[in-house]
Amino acid sequence: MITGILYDKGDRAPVNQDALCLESVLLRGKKELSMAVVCDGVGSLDQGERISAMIASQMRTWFYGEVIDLAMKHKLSRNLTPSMTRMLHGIARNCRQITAQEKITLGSTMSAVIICGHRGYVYHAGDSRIYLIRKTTAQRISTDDVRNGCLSACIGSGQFPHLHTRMLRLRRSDGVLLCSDGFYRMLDQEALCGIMDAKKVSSERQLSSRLLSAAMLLRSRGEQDNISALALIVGKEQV
Amino acid sequence: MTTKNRTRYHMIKVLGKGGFARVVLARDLLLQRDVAIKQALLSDEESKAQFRMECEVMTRIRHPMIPQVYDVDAQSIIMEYIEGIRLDTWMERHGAMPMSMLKEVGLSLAGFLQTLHESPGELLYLDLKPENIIWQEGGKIRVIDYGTVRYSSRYQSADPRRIGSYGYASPEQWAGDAVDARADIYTLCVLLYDLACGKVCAGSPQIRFHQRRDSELPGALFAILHKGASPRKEERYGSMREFCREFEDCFQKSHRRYHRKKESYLCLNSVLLHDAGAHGRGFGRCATLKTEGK
Repeated sequence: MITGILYDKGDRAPVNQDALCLESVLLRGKKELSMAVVCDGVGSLDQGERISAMIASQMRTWFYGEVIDLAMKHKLSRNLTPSMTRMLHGIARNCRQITAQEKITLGSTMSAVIICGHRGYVYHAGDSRIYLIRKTTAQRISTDDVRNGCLSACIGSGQFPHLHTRMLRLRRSDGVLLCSDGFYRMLDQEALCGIMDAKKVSSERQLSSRLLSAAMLLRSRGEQDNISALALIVGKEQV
Repeated sequence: MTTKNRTRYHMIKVLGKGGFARVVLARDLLLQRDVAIKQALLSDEESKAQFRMECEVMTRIRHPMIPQVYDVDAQSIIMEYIEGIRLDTWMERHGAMPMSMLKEVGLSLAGFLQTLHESPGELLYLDLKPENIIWQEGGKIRVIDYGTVRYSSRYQSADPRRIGSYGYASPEQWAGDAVDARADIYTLCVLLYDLACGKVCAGSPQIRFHQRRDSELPGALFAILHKGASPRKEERYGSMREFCREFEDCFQKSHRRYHRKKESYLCLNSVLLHDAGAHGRGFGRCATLKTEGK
């Protein structure tokens, strides 16, 4: 799998409230298991960078603690979603404790994809996005939790959101793009497909370079928000 | 140093400085000995509480690895000056630690942590790392810097502030979750693994273990450290006492066959990026716009 990461705070923002996590292991039997996570701390609440970091870190711990085991026992389809839900509930509980103790409110979006072989398991809450790029089409896989232009659900101190889940069957050269709203807001479908064009991208360096170019374009268009993106291109060994 | 003692201590040099305090080497002119003076730099309530905790631990707990405290006031601790070489410097100079030395270091540190854990209130050290450990001539180990010592979450509510050093702090510490003695077990195992391999590997402890799973470390020792440094605390040793037993057993009964758990995966990529106090960068490629000069 070819991966690329973009993580840019921008000039004006005092802190980057986005958090990214990318973990990839090669299982016995040569199957690749990967997890990509993008979290965007809600700027209108407190310490967005703290909750997004907490979610990303916990997911990494969860990946090494539970997901790899499930993958090795071929139990991902059945047990991954309950496991993920339990883990996120734990994070929400911690957030409520923090709220009670420190009188602050925490919230973050969470978009995650776990890929094992040709299967992708998608989990999402908030307004960060996940796209599936296949040939010349960029299909939005995630549903924006937005009402009247405002974020309506996130992971944090408030009510636990409805977790959107989906299972994908991936093909060779498919691209999966996870990104915060700072990345997708000013990019159209064509631009997204251009970044992930598997015919033109054959290395991580090239993919990162394309992400960087996209970021420069966004900045030139006046985007001031944090910009984060995780891009994965499925290789032929996986499917 | 208080006003009345100002003439007693002659400052020689600053040994170290952090966000909360600095440590100064000074000469006690009255008793003609070198002392280390830790001076608090901040005066907010949180820092004062932390300083009081440090004083309490260093004076209340009796252990040969803890520097002796000579005097204390509101802003400073005057204590024994520990001369020797820090373990991070030792690793740079000598590389991988010999097994005999590793056994002594491991058992000494485990015994020290066990004393803390078994004290009233279950104290946790939470910042064990090579920079905080001094190797003295004669093979004695001393632990410095007690600014992170806390009571276990069993006795007080979880402290959501992140305590500890990246690369050594347990996952639950880093996430601000409730911590108990198993957090120190985690840190100790990661530290011993680094000492056995001879250098600190950048990235999370899971990366270190997986990158070096074919190292020359004896399988039994690898299995013990790997278990102790499990990301899930339920999978670690339940107490320092249990860890000590297994650790010592591993060296003494080398004829017993331990089955090293076969590594069933190889880490290809690991990146964690956030702006909440620390960055974790693994070995993925990351693009960031440079904003210098703006």
